Amino acid sequence: MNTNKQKADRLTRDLLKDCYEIPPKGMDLRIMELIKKEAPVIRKKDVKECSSIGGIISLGVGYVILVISLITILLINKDDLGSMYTQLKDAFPYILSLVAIASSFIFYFCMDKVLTFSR
Amino acid sequence: MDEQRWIESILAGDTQSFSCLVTKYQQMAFSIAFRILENREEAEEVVQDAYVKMYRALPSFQFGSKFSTWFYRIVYHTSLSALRQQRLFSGYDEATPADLTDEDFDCASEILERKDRKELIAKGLKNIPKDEALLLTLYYLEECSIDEIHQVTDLSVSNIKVKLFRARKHFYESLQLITKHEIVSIL
Repeated sequence: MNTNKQKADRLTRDLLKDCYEIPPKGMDLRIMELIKKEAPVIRKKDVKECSSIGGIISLGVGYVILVISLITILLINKDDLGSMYTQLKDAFPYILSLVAIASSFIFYFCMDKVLTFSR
Repeated sequence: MDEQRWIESILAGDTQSFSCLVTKYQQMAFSIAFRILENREEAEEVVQDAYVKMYRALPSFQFGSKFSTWFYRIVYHTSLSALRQQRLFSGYDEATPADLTDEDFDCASEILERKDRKELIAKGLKNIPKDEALLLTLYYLEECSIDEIHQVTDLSVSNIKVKLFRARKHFYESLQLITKHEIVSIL
């Protein structure tokens, strides 16, 4: 019984081998036309994800902290602007490095997104 | 694992990678749709629709499952919608059909040798119920496992086994009828 089943399975598999229904000519091109019309749907979704609410909030919080820090420094040192300039002068290389790193990161991140979505 | 690479490219915005999925699966997708609808024009419309649905659903595809099974399920359900039917298969079939006879085997072996095998097989599949033709196509042509057929059609595993057994018997009977008709027409 089992041998019979195996024989039937093998024979049926051989009979049906490559017996696909052949799709009409050009069906693949017509599908691709439809997909090209659909393409913006997925892209729009990705662009939306880039500027999520979380990202915008964290960027805003970062700016607020930066402004508060600058104001605090100015208030603390308002009597002695001279010493503040000296302190800024000492910290200038570090500030410059941080600004350069942050700018490069933002620039290349944006460039990556622009190149991805302009393809 | 080609599919994973293609899908990642498509999701990154490379629409052209989608043509790889079209090339690889269009024959089987069309075969499934044609088995259910039995009309080439309608089957093409369904396949196009299924590809668009698949494209829209790609971001939610989990790589843990087999892509072909996932896509064939979309084609299957899109075909059923086109047919305005919720189900293709009738209820659980407890009747066990008779096993294949020597005559069935001899006839099938003869067909295997013939040059017009594909035409005869197409006729043979057309003469049996479409749910049975679909099961034979998935199991013997695409070599889907019983579990994969269960994922595509939602039929229970035991039901698939019974229906496959019956489908094979009907298919062999259909082939015999075709060859007998040929002999009669020659005489």
